[in-house]
Amino acid sequence: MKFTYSNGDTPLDGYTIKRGLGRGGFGEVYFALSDVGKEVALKKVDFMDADRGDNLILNINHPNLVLLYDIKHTDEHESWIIMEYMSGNCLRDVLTKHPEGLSIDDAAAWFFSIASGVHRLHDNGYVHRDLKPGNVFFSEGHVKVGDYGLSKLISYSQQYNNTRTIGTCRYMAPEIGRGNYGRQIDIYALGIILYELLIGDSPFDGESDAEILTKHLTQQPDLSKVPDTFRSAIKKALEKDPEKRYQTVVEMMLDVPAPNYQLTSGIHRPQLPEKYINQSEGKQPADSPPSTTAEQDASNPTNSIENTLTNPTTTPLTGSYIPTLTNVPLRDPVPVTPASKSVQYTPPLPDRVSKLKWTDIAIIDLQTKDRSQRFSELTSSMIRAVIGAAASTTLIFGVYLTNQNLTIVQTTQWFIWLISVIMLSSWAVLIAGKLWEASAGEESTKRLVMFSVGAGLGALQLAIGNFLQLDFSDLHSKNSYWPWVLEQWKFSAGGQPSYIHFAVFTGLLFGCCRWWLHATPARNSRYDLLAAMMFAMVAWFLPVAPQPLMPGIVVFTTLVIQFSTPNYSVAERKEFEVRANTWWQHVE
Amino acid sequence: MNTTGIKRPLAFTNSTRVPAVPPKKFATNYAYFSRTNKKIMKAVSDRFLMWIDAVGGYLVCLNNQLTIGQARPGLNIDIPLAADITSKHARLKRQGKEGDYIIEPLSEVMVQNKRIQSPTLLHDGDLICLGTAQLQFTKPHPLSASARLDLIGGSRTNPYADAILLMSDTLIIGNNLANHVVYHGEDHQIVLYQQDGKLHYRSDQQVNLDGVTNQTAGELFYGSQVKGERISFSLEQV
Repeated sequence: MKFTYSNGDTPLDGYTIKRGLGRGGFGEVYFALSDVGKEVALKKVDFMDADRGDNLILNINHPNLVLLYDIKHTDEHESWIIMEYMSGNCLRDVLTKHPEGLSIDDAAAWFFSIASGVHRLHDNGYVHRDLKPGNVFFSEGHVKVGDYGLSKLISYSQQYNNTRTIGTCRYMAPEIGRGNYGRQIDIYALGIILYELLIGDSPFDGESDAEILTKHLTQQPDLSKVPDTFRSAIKKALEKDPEKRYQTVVEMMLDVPAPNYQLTSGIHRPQLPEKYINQSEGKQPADSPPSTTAEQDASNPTNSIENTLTNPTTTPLTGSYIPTLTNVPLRDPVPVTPASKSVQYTPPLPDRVSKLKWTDIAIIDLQTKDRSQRFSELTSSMIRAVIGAAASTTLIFGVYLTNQNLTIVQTTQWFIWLISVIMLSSWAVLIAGKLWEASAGEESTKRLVMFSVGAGLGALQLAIGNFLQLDFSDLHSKNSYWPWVLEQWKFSAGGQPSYIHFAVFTGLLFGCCRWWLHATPARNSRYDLLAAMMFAMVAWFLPVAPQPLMPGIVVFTTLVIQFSTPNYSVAERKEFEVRANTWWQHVE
Repeated sequence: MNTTGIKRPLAFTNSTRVPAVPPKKFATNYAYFSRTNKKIMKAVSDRFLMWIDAVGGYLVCLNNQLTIGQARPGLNIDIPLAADITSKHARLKRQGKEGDYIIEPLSEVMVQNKRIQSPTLLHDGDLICLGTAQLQFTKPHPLSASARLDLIGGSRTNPYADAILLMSDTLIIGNNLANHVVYHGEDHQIVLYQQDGKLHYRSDQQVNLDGVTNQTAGELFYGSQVKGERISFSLEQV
């Protein structure tokens, strides 16, 4: 069974959905907790007329009717009926487990509870219209009728569409088809339910709706299997002509033998209609007087093991006294209040693991891109990196290298070396950033990868330098400002840096700094000079030659990377921020 | 707006723009979101609530030793009952490969209506009374050491659950009466199992795991949602 909402959703303010319960005639029903921990059932009804709201039906209080707390309409054009949560099974489930029907006492007990609830509805001028085992619930000993009054609240066409489902028409009185009906249709449904409680099957069954409806209209029910004491009541309730049926629920109740509640599987006495109590007094003992627990035990062994399994409130198959909340004897006039120690409810708030950043949300969006799109973006970024590298090299030359008294050959050598170093470094970072733009975390892995990439790049840089016959001592400051670095780390015997030296320290430079964060669209600003300076500091501390040119190269490489990767606009960022905040709305 | 001259990713364009405030009914994407950002997913530890649509809500306990006591804030009780019992009323232990369950009374405990004074082995179907609370112990599956405690006669856990599942190696949800959680419907079986301290599931039909379709197995976290045609459930931290 699929439900629209799942655990943790808050489609209705103030209530958190825990799970789906089932699907009723008018929509999905959920189990939910209010913000302070009240357990409720929420029924989602689409297209309910907000104006049609008949608030009287909300205010009927009867122990055999499922309490309606409220009806709310949301901005999403959904209406929610907030009602009492029934922890037990519905009668449909009970009947499924008992294909042969219930015991006479259980059947009668269910019937009297349902009838008492329906009587209250009739008394208040309502017709249930959709009485069926799926609308009758059991919870902690009480049988309650639910889903009443909904047909009044929902416009006729909707009701017509919703109730014409298989199963429902089994309880439809013949006159419903003619469109002119009253509360006798509930009596008819009660008759079918009583039959089903006793036999396990409904009297009119068929392959299709049409077949069942035809039988309702034409066929007489087969009552041969029904116990004698119930036969006349069912026969009269199932009359085709509504005029010949019982006219009130009380009349029908008077014809049905009252159950012996000690023999039922934990069903509590209903709040019987006053009329029934008055009229049944002279007629038959409606109930044996309330018994003590000792008597109850004496009459208990007839309980079947199936009952124990079906109903959680069943008095278990035992020989001696078991105290429960319902049968605990009162030793003194002071009522024993169960669980008198104050039990405070703490709502199970989900852990707020960490505050979400807008970039976390942006990452989800970035995951939707396909490979070709990523590739084309990467290509254009890399082309921009070439332009950026050329521009920054020119800038370095203009500002710094003109003062260094280099020959033409040396200038050319250095120009080519610088441009290739900046270009290759930014390419490496751009590729890494593109690969990782849609993945969060795993920082240590990323750093390790970047370290090896940097090591390779360092070796490549030296190789290019050697190929160009570059003399690193041209520009390298002779002043030793790395007192913490051993002399042999700096340069090889010939005055040139060694491959290991270059690889290790360029690797460290790449591994220490999170360059890839500057090659993703999900960053706070296009240019981050502070980060560039920080990276330069790292480069300054690491003995990567030539110094102090290297920190400058690092600053420009960072800026080239930032220049090559477009970032989200302010408006888009705002959007993500809003989403980042609202993701938590339903858990807070 | 596009000043860079670079083709922007699809998500940037107006046509596919996601609304600034996601409609509430898409709030379930949160699960999908967290699955894609494993850094904030929390691995399932010793207890969790399993909410199965149209079936029930279950308190699943993974530890081999559990305390049963009154539900009170601030107390760390594995099976908290809203009942007139002491804060540590009994201890439940699972032993051996077969999964023998032993109840150790710390206060007044009755098993099958006999007051017990010493640790007692539980049998399938045993009725346990702790003060006003009644629990029925069942071990439905012959090959699994996992067991189930059903609340009888108005007893309830806090937070509310329909039953308590004492999960050892595996937990089976299906339409067979020998399963730990029984649903009524056509064939579909989902097995929850522990591997290297992580919770996994296996399904004989393809299901949707946290927004990812057609999954028959995977790791489960707090907040994970498994949605199938017949069985759907989600996990919640207690």
